[in-house]
Amino acid sequence: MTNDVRRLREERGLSQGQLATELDVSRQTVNAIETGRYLPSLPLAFSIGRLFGRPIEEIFHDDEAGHD
Amino acid sequence: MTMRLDMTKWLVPAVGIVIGILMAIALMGQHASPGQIALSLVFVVGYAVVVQVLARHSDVAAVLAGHPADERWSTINDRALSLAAQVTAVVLVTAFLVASFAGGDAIPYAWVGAVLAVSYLAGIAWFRARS
Repeated sequence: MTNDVRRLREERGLSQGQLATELDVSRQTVNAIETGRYLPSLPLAFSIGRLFGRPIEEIFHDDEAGHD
Repeated sequence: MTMRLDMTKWLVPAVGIVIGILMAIALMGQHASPGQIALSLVFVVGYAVVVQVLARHSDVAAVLAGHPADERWSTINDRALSLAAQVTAVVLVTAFLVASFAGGDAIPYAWVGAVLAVSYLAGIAWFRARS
């Protein structure tokens, strides 16, 4: 799995700490998600999607399924 | 919907205080010195209080205090608990075998192992029913 969380965060000028506060998680967890070391739960993924105003599948990508 | 998992915040301090008091009572029954009693109480209660205070500043301390900062830390806590339980099981079986072959009393190890096994099976049944 890969994701665009870092890019979307940087586009909005947010620090990892600010995004962590918005999502009610620790800054280390945001970093772990961005680097692919941690896959968020479905509720957290939905929260990320809501925050960036995008559906989950536009943020998280299943590498094995390939991209259209 | 909140991502912050609300485990019982005061469970660890409460358990620490109860264990500390019980240990102090047990030591009193063994006619331990007041210093030994105070030391055991301070050690156990102190641990609970320290992790509770540090939990505001450290994610690791928050896990030890029983309220992980978020779902990732909760997962880390679950995995660490699982690892500790597996290591405990191996140590128990080893201790049981060593005590049995040495002609010692292996029954306490068998009891603790039985509690571990039964609670594991009960956990499977409980979580299967809830998921």
